[in-house]
Amino acid sequence: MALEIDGLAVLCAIAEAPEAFPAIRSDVTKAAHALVTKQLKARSLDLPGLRAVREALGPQPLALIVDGLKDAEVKALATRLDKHHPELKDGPAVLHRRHLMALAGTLAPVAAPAAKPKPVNATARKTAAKAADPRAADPKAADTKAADTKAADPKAAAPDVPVQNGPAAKTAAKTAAEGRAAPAHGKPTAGKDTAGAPTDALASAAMAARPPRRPRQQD
Amino acid sequence: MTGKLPTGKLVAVANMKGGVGKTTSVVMLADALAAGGASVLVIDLDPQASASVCFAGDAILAEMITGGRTLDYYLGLRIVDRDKAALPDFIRDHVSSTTHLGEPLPISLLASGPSLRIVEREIIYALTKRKFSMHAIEGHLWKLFQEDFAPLRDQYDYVLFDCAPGISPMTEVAIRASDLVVVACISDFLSTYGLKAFYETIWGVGSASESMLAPRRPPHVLITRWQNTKQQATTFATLQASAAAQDARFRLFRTRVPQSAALANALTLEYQTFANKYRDATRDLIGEVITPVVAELKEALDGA
Repeated sequence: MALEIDGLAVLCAIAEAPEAFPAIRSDVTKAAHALVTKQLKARSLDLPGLRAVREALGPQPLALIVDGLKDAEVKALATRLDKHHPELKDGPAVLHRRHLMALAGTLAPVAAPAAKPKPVNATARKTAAKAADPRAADPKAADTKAADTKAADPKAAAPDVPVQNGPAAKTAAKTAAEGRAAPAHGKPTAGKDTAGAPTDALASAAMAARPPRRPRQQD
Repeated sequence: MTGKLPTGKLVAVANMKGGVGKTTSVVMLADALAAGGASVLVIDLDPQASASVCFAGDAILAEMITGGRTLDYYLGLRIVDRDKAALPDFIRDHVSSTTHLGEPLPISLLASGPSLRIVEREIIYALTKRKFSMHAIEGHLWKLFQEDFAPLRDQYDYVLFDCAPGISPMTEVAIRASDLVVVACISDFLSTYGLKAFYETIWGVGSASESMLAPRRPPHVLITRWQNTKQQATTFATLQASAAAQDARFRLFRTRVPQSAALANALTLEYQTFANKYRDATRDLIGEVITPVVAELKEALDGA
């Protein structure tokens, strides 16, 4: 005697006789979305797994479900499945979606870069340097050296200051270049509903803009 | 996905009353039709430029206004100054930042600006000065619409007019000349009261003239901002009974558009996929509302 239903068999039966389940028609869509979304978000999903999902569903249903994932989820999956792609890390959300769908098709992920020549053993180098440079024995001198390195690299020099070259800054730069208003932030964080709101509620370039005078316009 | 229709359809979304969800309906319909594969042109007839800013964003709209690439500038050139101007030159393609299946929605925009209000007054003044009667002014606008706007149906599958509340002369022409008028209406006392006035103005006895014809179909009322309250339900039942009557003067969409935060948020310019833009935690907005509304719209355009 069976102790539990065979879920797959029941789902198949529902799909084959939808007229017997009219009250759950919209729930079926929601459930289908939820099931595939969960599979796509599974940590164990690898590239063959993604391709198997595409093979099973077809490209368009998969694309519709990918469209329904959050931007961050799509980015995480795309960068996990194509770790070495140079543009994925900072690219826009639309690129991540397109790339994920291409990977699900036939696109091969970017190969790992060739291994760099193995650096000389750090301990051995340190010992050699110590022997040659008497300053190295002085911890204060070592700090000075570290400070010099930081000065040469502004990112390292001010690690606490957010560097304005992340994806958000790129998006802002892109939208500014395209002349669009900067997009609003995503879901407001609890207690920060007004964060990012414009300081002047009546500020509008369009409402302040005036059309040019027509060539034959009369006063 | 729908293929290219043999000839595009002109749809006016209108109501004399403001705040009933005209622009929200236009944005939702434009997005949904475009996501279904149709090419869509949105023509903003409202000087408040709500639809324009929803699609183009503030900065691009400002650029269009200062560059003289708006409906009001075009009307000024064509009617007031009697200059030559080609309407397609004033249309901005690919304005949507929403994507579907990896591609931006194919939506174009003929934007308006606050000057539309002034230009419409200029038109009346200029034509009156040329001894045009009120009927002749209407006829002039009607002719312009037929010559310049109607041919846009050859380039787009759907041309959606976001009409100004209060019915400006240009809005009235668009309403009368469109293939279908969708009347966005809240299911409450004041909105349906306004619907009566709107009906009498456009479809009522004696509202048509030699210069401007009556609309070819009765108005199709789309209930917006639906909330399942007793008052809204009662009003809706009355509307349903009236629409089902033998001598019904309007049709009623079966699907009601709910009051939804997702629909309000859809008016922002943030990049989103169509699926995420209309995601509503409390209901399947795309499956249960948008898809049936679009199906009913097509049904009305094809058959009614």
